[in-house]
Amino acid sequence: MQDLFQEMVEVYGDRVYRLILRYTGDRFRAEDLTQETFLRAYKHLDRFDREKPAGPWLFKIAANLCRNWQRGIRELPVEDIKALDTLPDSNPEQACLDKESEAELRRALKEMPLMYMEVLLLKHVGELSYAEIAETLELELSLVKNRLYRGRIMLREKLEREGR
Amino acid sequence: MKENEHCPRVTEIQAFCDGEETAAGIGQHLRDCAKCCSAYQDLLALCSTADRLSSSEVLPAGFQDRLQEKLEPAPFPAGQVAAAIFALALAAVFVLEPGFINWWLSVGITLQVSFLIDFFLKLYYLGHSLGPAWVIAALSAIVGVELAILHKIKKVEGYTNAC
Ligand SMILES: [Zn+2]
Repeated sequence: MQDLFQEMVEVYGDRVYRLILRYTGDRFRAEDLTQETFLRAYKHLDRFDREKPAGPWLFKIAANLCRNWQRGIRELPVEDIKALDTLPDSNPEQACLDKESEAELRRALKEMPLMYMEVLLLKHVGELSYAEIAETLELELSLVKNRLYRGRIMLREKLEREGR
Repeated sequence: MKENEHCPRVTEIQAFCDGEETAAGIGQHLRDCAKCCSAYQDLLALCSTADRLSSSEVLPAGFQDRLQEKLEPAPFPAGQVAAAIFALALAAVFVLEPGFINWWLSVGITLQVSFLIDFFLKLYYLGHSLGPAWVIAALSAIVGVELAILHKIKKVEGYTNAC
């Protein structure tokens, strides 16, 4: 039991953290919610089907926590780009560009409807397959494909608008 | 293969871009059909833009240790709690009962009572192992002692009454 849990943290820990960090834009909040994700997983480990990959199960918990967090706040701290403040970067110019790019992404994400944003994050941050995204969000596979396509178009449009 | 009604839907081409399972022959179709080839190129660019969302962030240092601490809460400090209760009880004896020394003496009396009970039990078991002659002798001795005590009490009471 303990070994299975340890394996989950090692395999999915970083990806769960990245997804929550993209969602919240706040390192402390992201660590807090990642801890909560794994604490809940540990608590309900007996409900986990060992025959299946743990990804969808963990991301479902993480997504629910993020939604609850989102409901609790009115505004996403889009201008707050401290998420990149502590990134090691020897090149200050590059760091500045990264920060700007990060801020653009956060503004674009903030403007997107949640249903598209979640599919995009699960695909590009969580690195899940279509089937795994469908399982995580309890959606039909065709709906995942459509939302992913529309989401990508939407993101590009918003980023182009940001770039102007 | 030319453009025709068998062109895959854009979401199918997207699935091909994402490395998902797709209908057989879609790769060949993308090479042969100019329209689908253009859609494929557009989708590759679209995926590349969305890939900006990915990051190389890793869990903060010490994350696993902090998680482990939450999984195993500190054991209940039974020793400290017992010591605290004892200290409180001791303080209560001093604060709430000024005659705590009398209370302590009563514990001494309790000790004497337990000694007497022990003594009579010993006598009882001894009675079981002795012959009848020994028991009668012992009882006679007790009766003799009792008579002597009563005689003494009568003398003391007689003296008191005389006063
Ligand atoms: Zn075609």
